[in-house]
Amino acid sequence: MSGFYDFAQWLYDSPFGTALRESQYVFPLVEGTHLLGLAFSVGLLALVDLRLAGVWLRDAPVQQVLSQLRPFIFAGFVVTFVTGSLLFSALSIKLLAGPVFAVKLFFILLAGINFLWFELGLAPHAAEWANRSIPPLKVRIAGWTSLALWSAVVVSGRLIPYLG
Amino acid sequence: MTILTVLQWVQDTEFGIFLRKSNHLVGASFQLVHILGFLLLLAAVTLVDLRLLGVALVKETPARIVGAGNKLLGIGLAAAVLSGTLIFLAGPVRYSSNEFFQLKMVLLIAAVLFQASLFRVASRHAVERPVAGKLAAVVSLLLWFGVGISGRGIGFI
Repeated sequence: MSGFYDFAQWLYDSPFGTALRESQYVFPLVEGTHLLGLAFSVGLLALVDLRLAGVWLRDAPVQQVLSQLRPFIFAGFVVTFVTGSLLFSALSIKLLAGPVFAVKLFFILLAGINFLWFELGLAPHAAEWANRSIPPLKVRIAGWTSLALWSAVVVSGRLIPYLG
Repeated sequence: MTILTVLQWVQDTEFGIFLRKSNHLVGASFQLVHILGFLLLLAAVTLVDLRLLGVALVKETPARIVGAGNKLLGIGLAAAVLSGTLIFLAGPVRYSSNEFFQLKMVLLIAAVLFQASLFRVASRHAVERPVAGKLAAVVSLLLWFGVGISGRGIGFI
């Protein structure tokens, strides 16, 4: 872990991290892009989750909602992670100083595990339930869990300036 | 009576003072509702606009997606406006002089008016007039994402 902390310190002191941190326009623009990337990644994913949970757009086949939105959600996550990494390079030491950023990463890890459970455990059997308006319990649980975990990621991210 | 006097008066009402003097975590909780509500709104807008652009959920009719999206858009907008009003009332004089806040309000009003008028008509006739539907989708995306970007800018000046 101290290796990671050293890396964060190096990143913070690097010309790139320093320039981004001190830039008047680029930094807010990266933050703004991070937020807008979230609309595609976490936002569209939340809509898929609501469909999996069986509470929204029930008359559209799950398979179709999943497959048609997947490329946009992945593209959104690419934007979110790239801009997030840029923000980390500018703020690394400050982010590691408090507990909230670690909590945020932990929620991302849990959301990632839930995603793998869905993709590897549930999605391969999608043909059995893809045309039901309300999916089976396991799928609904995966949907609600994803919704809760990604909301927790957004909440903890927004709390960084308040709780450190 | 100028707008500034009104804002000054609002700021000095008991409610305004209460909001300003309350614990910073109260303000933080308004911010959380604000961002979650706004993200739901943006996601709904994005979904509907992707459908009108003909790049997602193409097997569903535009009308069905617009209808389903509008429910979430309404919930998200209500949450964002309510929490945003409370955030604003804690410091109306300071916020109203912020250029990004002014830009955000202009874009917000434009986005709501556009969504309720031209966008409504264009999305209803998207099957017969797909180009108008696509144009409406692009304008809607620009307006709502503009609201988000300018909102993010408020804290930086």
